[in-house]
Formats: sequence, structure tokens, C-alpha cells
Amino acid sequence: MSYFAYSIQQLVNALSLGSIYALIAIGLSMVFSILRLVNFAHGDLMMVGAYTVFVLWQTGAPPWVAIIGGALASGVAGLLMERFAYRPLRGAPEITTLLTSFGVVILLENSSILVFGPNSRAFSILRFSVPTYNLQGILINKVDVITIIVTLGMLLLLTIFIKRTKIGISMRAVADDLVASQLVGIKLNRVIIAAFFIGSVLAGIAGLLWGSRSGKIDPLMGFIPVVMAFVACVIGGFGSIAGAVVGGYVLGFAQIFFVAFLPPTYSGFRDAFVFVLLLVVLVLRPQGIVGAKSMERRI
Amino acid sequence: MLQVANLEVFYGNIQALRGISFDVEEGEIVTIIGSNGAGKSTTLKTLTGLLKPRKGKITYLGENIIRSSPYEIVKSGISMCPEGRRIFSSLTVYENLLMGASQDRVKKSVQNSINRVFALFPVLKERVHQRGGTLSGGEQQMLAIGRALMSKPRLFLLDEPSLGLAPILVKKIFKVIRDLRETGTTILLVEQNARQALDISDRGYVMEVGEIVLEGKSSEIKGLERVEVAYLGG
Repeated sequence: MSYFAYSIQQLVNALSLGSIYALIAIGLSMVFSILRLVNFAHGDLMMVGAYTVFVLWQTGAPPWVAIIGGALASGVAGLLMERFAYRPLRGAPEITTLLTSFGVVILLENSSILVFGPNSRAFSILRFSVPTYNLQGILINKVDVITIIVTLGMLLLLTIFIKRTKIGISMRAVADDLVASQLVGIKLNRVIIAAFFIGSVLAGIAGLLWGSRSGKIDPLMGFIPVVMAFVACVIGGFGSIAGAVVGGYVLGFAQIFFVAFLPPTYSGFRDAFVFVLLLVVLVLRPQGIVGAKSMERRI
Repeated sequence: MLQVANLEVFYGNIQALRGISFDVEEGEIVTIIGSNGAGKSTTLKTLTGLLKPRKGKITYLGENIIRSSPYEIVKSGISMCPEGRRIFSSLTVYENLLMGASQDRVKKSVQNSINRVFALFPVLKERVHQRGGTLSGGEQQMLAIGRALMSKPRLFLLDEPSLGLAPILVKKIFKVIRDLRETGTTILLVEQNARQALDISDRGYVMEVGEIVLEGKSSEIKGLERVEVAYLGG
């Protein structure tokens, strides 16, 4: 295979991985921008979505029903999480809500192990009959193409929502200044619910894409992606949606290119390189690539 | 219109308000003056529901609003232009004003209200698609006032609107406050700029370390030697 073909394949691969990170990071960042909550249980919403798709598809539902059902199940799970885990702690110190999020992680992952067992399940809903396109020697995975297109579509919808709808503008207002948003009479709960629901649906879709990418799902599948999405948020600028997207893609590219273009003896250290990248960003630009405002602005 | 009785507010163990009482009648401009840390802003924050008092009573239009949330208080017709402006800096001028009309009660008249704000502050119309954070200090203050007016308040609370502004802008802002009263809005104005606040107000209260130490007609307060020395630059 030519070096050119190899590079193109890796490019698509990186775009696809970055897309998934971006989808997860958006929800993490949206919730953080409003509540100053780093919700590590966000990754488990991927698992909820993926398993819902799996179960629906196994019971014979058409693929599109399974997929929409999975996304909605994640959305509902996110709402329940907000209502029962985080709303009672509204106003509590950030460390309390952070620890609570780990509690939710343990609850969800172990419930999933109880119900579905600890083993991986084959996940092939998006693996249609021909898994790859062959463009003059360049092999491109169909799942990657779907991932990239779906993500771009979601980003477009999200941009319209954030820029044009009243609730989207309210969301930015709350992120800008919580006190002022209360003074003008914005219904905070409505904004929080919207942020959780949208972020969770995107996580559900990310779960579907992540499972399709690896061809399997398991109860702990959300852990690594949420840590990576957290890194993406920090790289891009925590609390900014644009930052989450930029960070997601930077991270996706970094991971793929460290493996693809470094000598094979180094590729095992992929994640070490990723965290070095994180450290470099933190030293040179602590507010992240996109983030311009001080993180202390609300205190 | 508004009666406050024996209000006590604490930050943790520190008492910020030591049982203050005052009232505002419909159609008045009332001012609370006093130096930094006297409890003026705390008073306004309590009126808007941002702080919960430990003791006391706040009666607005005959109803006790002490347990009301900020949302309910805006809904009942009290609106505040906060200290330090607190505009939404990443939102455009238009979006800031739109957020001021988050209240269901005023949703139908948003465009009218925006036009009214533009009539008061024409410069905001020129900047309508600019982000709030890119405005000058004076423009931000106008935007903060405009945003607070979008909810069509009956009682308008202003916290240090002249802070950090050039004298010509201070004059402009105070003229707008007087004009607002002419259109039927009742105003409670908190100021360190005591002379100008007393000039435009009907009645005044002087606060010192969490207590009201003096009250009366603004014209009378202005004449008192003790106030002159302490707040009017002797």
C-alpha cells in the first residue's frame, strides 16, 4: 500500500475517533459550563445508549428504531441522573458533586454488569454487508464515514440550537453569569435539563458509534472515552462547546498519528504522548485552545 | 409599595444587616447611601431573593416575599440592575436584551421593549450585534439598565449605576432614572455618589455598618452637616 493511501486512511481514522471524542466532550462541557460539575458518569451514558440499541436490535426492531431508541434512552438516563444525583446537591462544593459523579459511575457500571454480565458483546448494527469502501487502493471503513457524517450533522444542529433558540441563548447566558441569569428570571432548571438531555443524547450516539468502531460493547466501555473527553475539554477549553469540539479532534488526531507515524516501538506509549500533549497545553495555554475567559469568572 | 422590617442578613457568622427597616412608596425615587461595606448591596440582593435573610419581613404589594425565589420576584415586577453591571459578555447586545425578557409575562412585547431601550440609549442600537464584552464601560452600564427594564418592572432597583463612569455618563444615567420615574416606575437607588443620588431622589436613607442611621427627605439630608462631612465631601 502506498504511503499516500496509508496517510488518507489514517486521516479518516483520526477524524472518526476525534468525532466521537467531540460528541462526548460537548455534553461534559455543557454541563460544566452551567453547574461547574465534571460529570464522570457521562461516559456511562454511552454504555446505556449502546446497550439499549443492542437489546432493541436483538429483539428484532428495525435498525433506525434501535438507534433512535438508544439515543433517547441515554437522554432519559441523563435526566434521571440530574434529578436524583445532582439536583439534591445544587449549591454544594464542586468536590462533592465530583465525588457523587464517581458514585453514579459505580452504580451504573455495576448495574450493567448485573444485568448483562461482565463480558463483551458483539455489536454489529452499523457493520453493513460491505464493511469498507475501496477507492483505488485506499480502504475506508464505512463506520468511520458514518461517524464523521453523523457528528457533523449533530454539530450543525447543535450550533443552530445554541445560536438561534431562546433556550440555547439562555444556556449561554447562564454559563456567562449565573447570578445575572437568575436576576433576569431565566428558569435555571429548564436550562439545566436541556443541557443534560442534549449532552446525554449526544453521548448515546457516541456510544453507538464507539461500539460500532470496536465491534463490541461492555459495561465499562464508557470509562476510557470519558477520561479522553475530559482531556479534550481541558485541551480545548473547559466550559466552551467550541473548545470541546476542537479538543476532541486534536486528541483524536494526536492519538492516531502517534500510533501511525511513530516507530512501532513507541506506539505502545500512545497515551503517554497524549498526556504529555495535555501537559504542554496546560503549561502554554492553561485556559485551553479556545477558552479565553478566566475559569474564576463566576466566583 | 415595598416595606422592609427588621431585616437581618448574615454571611456565615458575620452579620451584614442589623435589623434594617425602610419603605418605598409607589412613584417615588428612594435612595440608600453609605460608604463601602455599609450593607447597601446586601440589602438589594436580599430584596431580589439572591440572599435569604435570617430574620425580618419584606412586604411587596401587600405580600410577604421573603421566601420567594429570584425568578418569582422578577415575575412579581421587581427588577434589579446589579452592581458591576454583570451583562452577559459573550452574548450580543440584542441577546442580552432578549434574556432580560425571559419572564413569561413580557414575552409578547419583546420588540416594543427593545425599541423603548433603544430610544433611551440610541448607542445600543448601533451596537446591536456586538458582543456585550466588547462594549465600553458606559455602554455596558446602559445595557445592564436596558436589560433590567426588559421585564417591565414596577419597582426598579439600581445598585451603584454610576460606579466607574465618566461624569458626563453619570449625568446621562441619572437623567434616565428621572425619566423612568416620569413613566411610572418606582425606583430604589443605591449609591456611593451621594450628592447626585440625593439630587434626584425624593427620600433617602443613610446606612452605616449594617444599620440605617438616618432617614428623611433628600433635600433635608443634603443639608445636614454630618452627612456633608461624611458623604458629600464637606
